[in-house]
Amino acid sequence: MALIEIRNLHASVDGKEILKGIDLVIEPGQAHAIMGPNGAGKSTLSNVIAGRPGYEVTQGSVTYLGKDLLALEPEARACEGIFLAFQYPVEIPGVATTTFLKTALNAHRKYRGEGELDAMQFLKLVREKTRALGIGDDKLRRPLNVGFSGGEKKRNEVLQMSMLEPRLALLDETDSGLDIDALKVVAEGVNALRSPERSFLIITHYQRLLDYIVPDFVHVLADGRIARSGGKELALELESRGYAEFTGAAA
Amino acid sequence: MDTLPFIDRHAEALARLGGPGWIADLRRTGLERYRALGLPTQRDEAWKYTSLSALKKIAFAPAFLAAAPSFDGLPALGGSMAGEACRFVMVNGRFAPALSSLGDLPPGIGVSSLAAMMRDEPDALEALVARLYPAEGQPLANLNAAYLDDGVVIRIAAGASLGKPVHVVSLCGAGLAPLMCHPRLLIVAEAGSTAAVVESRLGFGGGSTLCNVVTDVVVEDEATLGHYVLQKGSDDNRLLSSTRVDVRAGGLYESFALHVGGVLARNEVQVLLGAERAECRVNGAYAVSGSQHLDNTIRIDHAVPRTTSRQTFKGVLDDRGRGVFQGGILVRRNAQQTDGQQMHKALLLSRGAEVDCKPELEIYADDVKCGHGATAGELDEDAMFFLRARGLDPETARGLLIEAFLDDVIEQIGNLTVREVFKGVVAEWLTRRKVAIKETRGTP
Ligand SMILES: Nc1ncnc2c1ncn2[C@@H]1O[C@H](COP(=O)(O)OP(=O)(O)OP(=O)(O)O)[C@@H](O)[C@H]1O
Ligand SMILES: [Mg+2]
Repeated sequence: MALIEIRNLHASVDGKEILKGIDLVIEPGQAHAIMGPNGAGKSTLSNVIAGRPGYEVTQGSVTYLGKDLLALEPEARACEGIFLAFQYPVEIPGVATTTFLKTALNAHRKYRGEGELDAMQFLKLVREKTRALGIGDDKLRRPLNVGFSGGEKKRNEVLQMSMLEPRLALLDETDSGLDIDALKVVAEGVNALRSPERSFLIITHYQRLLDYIVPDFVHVLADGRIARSGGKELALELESRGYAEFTGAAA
Repeated sequence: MDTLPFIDRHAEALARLGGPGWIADLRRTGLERYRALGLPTQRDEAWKYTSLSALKKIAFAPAFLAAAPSFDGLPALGGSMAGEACRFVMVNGRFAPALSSLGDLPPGIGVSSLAAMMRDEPDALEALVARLYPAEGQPLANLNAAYLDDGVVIRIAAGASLGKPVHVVSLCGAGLAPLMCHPRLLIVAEAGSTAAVVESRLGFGGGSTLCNVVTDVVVEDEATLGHYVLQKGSDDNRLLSSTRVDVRAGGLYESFALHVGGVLARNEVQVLLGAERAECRVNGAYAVSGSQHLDNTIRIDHAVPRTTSRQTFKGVLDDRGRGVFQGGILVRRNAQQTDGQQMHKALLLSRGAEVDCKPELEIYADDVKCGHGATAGELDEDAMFFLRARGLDPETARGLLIEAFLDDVIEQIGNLTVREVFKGVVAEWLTRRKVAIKETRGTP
């Protein structure tokens, strides 16, 4: 069974149609990259999958592990294993990063019928993950993302992903804003999670990321549709030729 | 002039209340002045957003005329707070020795019932009262004086330093017959002392009550006083609180009022910064729901040069809850180099909730630094989605964001013990809110 199956997906924001018929099937273990011009609808697609309010699906279906994903609330989708790494992670003053991590992790455990982790177990887990991602302990004590640099926020997203161990990770430009070393660290974090059950949808503008996280497929999303799909070599081709042929076709 | 119609019936009982002659005079003057001033109405600028007219329809009897309430839960309600130095419990404005524990007070701290002082130390009491801020123009303070009967007197001797807070618990409750009480608190922090006082104003039982409390505070030269008030009334409790503070040279008055329950409450604080380097921080946080109404009215009088004041209030308003903030800063003509700031921030959780905010800056000096600010907004949708996308159900997400909203003002509480206790009160309010929401939705 496919992990996620998206059929003829149309979605609007504020009455404006952004997704105009997306078809995409991701099997367990696969990594798919999505590239495409600004404003094409890449983030919209990831938000629709995650269930952001205000994004109205007008046609089509999304089936996740055989279930109608669109019928689920965002928190249920998250607990069912869908993780969206935000293009613009939100700053939340007054909520310490650790408190947030613990609340999120325990929400997942509760959903699965497991007991909450105690403080010691949680601390051990979070230490292990932060160390692997080169995140300092001081960040954990600080309010979530407040005063974090762009790159630090992205690392923090990957930390949350590695804590929550999703089945399907949607990475929306997780590479933008990362310096060269951070990019490697983050890619290693992602690769460490790759497994035959876990799949990735990687939205990026840069082929460089795909040198580290090698995708099985690359798609071009332009004007709300998948205009072309191919293997990882498509990313190289796009790097040299740009999106002119797709935006031209759309105009 | 509109007064409370039923007070006429109490005249005889008031005349029989004990105490030395000068106390009887105080009561008489209080009653006369109250009659002349009348119950505040919304035509009074200071009461623009809060109506007391509903009080006239309830025949409140003074607590001293009623039998002492019997309520099994009282001892638990008057229970101890972690880290308190002692506990002074009042039930409907009267000292309840059986519920109190005044055991080993550190040297330099005196905590006594006002009624006991009237009886045993009238001269010492008279000397203390003589030092207080006059109350001519304040109807509620005068009404309180008219019914003066009991309360608490806290004296912190010069140079004394008390780490643990003195805890005053004021329990208000009634059975079928509506009750009112007018407790009086007197806190004198003598020169160079450091202390903290926590007042827990709690409700019990199901009946209607009116508590009209007056707190007089003197912070003498170079003294520091933390004054922390927790208001957790039950549904039919009305609380009118007037706090008058006099801060002397180099003194610091730091207060925090946390309000999480009671149908109607007015928290009025007046601070006189009448000597150089006097400083005050008058902060607070509140959560109102149902049809609760809370009014914070603050007035800081910068009477001399080089004094500092801060007012920071944050409120969370749900259902048809109503919040009022009137923040006054008066800078008198010669009060150069005054530094006075105020801020009110409201978080509106429902469309029916409402907040009225009225800054009142009266500045008659030219070399001053004064400012005010106010915001009112809803929960951030992006933050809500972010949290839900991490698996938090909407109520847990909302709870986390509400706690976060209140966090920075609660962090300003100087006393660490009290800060933790107050954080716990907020967390408990959020849990109750979550349970209430689940019940109304009928989900398990
Ligand atoms: N909340 C919104 N209200 C109105 N328009 C929106 C909203 N969200 C997205 N859009 C519009 O939808 C279109 C697609 O936006 P989206 O963010 O999905 O693009 P993208 O492919 O992720 O672009 P980028 O590469 O710049 O991140 C854009 O034209 C954008 O302005
Ligand atoms: Mg985008």
